[in-house]
Amino acid sequence: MTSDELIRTSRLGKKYGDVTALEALDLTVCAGEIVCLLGANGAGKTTTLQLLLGFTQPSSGQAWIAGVDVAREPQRARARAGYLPEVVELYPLLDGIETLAYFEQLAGRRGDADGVAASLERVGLPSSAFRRRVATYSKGMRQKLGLAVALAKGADALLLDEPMSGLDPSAANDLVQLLRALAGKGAAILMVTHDIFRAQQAADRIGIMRHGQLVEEVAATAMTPQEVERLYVHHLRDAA
Amino acid sequence: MIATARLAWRQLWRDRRLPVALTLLLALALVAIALDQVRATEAERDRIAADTLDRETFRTQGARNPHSVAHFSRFAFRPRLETMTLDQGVSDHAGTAVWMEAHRQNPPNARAAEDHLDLGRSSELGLAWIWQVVAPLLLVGLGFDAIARERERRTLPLVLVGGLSLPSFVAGKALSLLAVFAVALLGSVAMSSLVGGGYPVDDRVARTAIWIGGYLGYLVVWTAITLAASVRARTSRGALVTLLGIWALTVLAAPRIVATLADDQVPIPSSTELSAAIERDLKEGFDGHGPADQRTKDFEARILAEYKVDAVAKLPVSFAGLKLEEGERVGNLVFDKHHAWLAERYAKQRSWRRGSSLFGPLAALQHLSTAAAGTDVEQQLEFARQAEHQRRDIVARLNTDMIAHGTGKDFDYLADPILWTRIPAFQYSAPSLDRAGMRIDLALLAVWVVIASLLLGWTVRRAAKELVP
Repeated sequence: MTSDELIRTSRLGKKYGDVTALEALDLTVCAGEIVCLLGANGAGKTTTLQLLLGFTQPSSGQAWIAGVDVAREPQRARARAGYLPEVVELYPLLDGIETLAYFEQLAGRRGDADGVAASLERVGLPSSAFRRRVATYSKGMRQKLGLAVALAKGADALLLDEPMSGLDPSAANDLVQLLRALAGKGAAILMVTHDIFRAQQAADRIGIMRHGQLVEEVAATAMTPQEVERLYVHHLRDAA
Repeated sequence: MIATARLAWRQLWRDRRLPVALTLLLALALVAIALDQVRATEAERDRIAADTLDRETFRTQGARNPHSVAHFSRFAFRPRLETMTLDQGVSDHAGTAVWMEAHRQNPPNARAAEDHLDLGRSSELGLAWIWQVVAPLLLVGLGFDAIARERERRTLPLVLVGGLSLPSFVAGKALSLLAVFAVALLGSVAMSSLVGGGYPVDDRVARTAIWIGGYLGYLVVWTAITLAASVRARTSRGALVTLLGIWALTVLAAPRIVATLADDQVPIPSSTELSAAIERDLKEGFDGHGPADQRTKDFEARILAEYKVDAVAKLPVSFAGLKLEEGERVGNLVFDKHHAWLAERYAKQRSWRRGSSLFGPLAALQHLSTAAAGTDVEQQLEFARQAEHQRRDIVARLNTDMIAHGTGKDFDYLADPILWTRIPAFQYSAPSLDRAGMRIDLALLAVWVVIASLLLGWTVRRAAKELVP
């Protein structure tokens, strides 16, 4: 494993009883790279993220974040990762500043209001929302705040579950630009999404998952969105 | 951990659970203390008035036969200790005055619960009841969703990725709950100290510290149980239902079931039954002593032989006085036998009630709480023992005077009134802490703190391995 392989799995698998959620996944995301996993519901995308974060124990294989074995040292591995879950609720009674300040404090930062406000601006949250309670946020605003939380500690490895969900086209485009900028600074980003167009736009490589297996891995830059879509639909049909 | 505690306080404050719980706790404590103060003031006023009148009447009764005075005798009053505000214990249902007279060890009477039926009914609303029953319920209300809700709204993974381990996160939540209740506990004790009065107790600070320590231990147990349920449950609603069940079982049901069992297995006789048993022994004989008539004959023969005379009239001392003294000696043996048996019954009942410690820490806390406040059965028995000691002293002084000065006159002898002023008044002395018998209950409470902490630790370790269902 090279030092720039910030996210890596080897023969990683997970079974829930007789059900195989993930099977022998070999995946590497290097520093400066964005990899998107596409797949239908139940294809194993979210399970992959959960295994990479040590939220569940693998049935087989191994996973590493920044070279740290996740199963052996989950907390150390998580310390090197940023995470955005698929559903972002956060704390409805806190405002945006308070929410992000808390996560910055967890990461050992000061979490002062000015620094927090700058982080919120970076993800495109309107300044009028900074002091509003999260309960009043739209889904897209919560998504942006969740992204700010994921970025709060400046982690090397970012694991994003449906980050475009709820974002309007302009905000989604901004997010793509932001992710590209982060990758440009050396972050490794593994993103799970249904949004083929944004995946093709943001990713360096696209992996297609089906029934817990990575069935296809392609270089996104070599394909048009239409070609990615055809490939995805082809695998979906196979799955059906 | 501190950041997590601060976050929890902020959320609990904003969803109004924290202000409601704090207001409820402190308002209830204030009402309890005020009610107690009214009762305490009234009881102390009555006690002091009755005690003063009793002393004055005794002192100014003029020349009388000492045995008449032994029957007229005096009261021993149990003062209201300054620590009683912490826990009224059995004080309202136990007598506060003992009528000290010749030939009888009277049980304490003048029960507050009989004198004030209206207040007696509300006597459960004391600080102890609030912290034993209401506080754990409020703690459950504040903490049932501490972890479960974080899982439901998917913030738990964010926190764990954010840099906290699950144990640290749970510790932060525990700190937030414990700090709130500890502050409220100290606040309620401070309020009671400010308004408190009553009979001074030497080791008040130590008693209060033990009392607070006991309740803090109890809160630690409930915090650990609440968080363990919150970690374990799939939903916050499930955690709430589980915790309410545990509260109802351990706080409401188990102590009452065990108390009923204790009463059934180790019945305590009524004062009438006890008096009847004592009378029966005195009349019919006991432990190798013959019936009363036989004892009187034997005693007369023994005295005549001792003084080497052949008739009572030739005795150089008052035979009536000697007979009274002998009657007291024999009576005291009977009283000691029955009261030792009674104390043993109380101890057995206490052991039975301690049995409910299997279900939770409440029984141990209740014993500890009343012992620290000086209102448990043991300290009530101690009051009865002190009163009995005083009774025996008074009767012995009066009999001694009659034996020495009543020769030939017996019951016609009138003692100099100065004798009454030489008889000291009853002075209650609260038993010291080391006699309060708290060690077992402290140990039981400590065991519960350890069990609950281990349970929480085990639950957290187990959950940390599989955070996603």
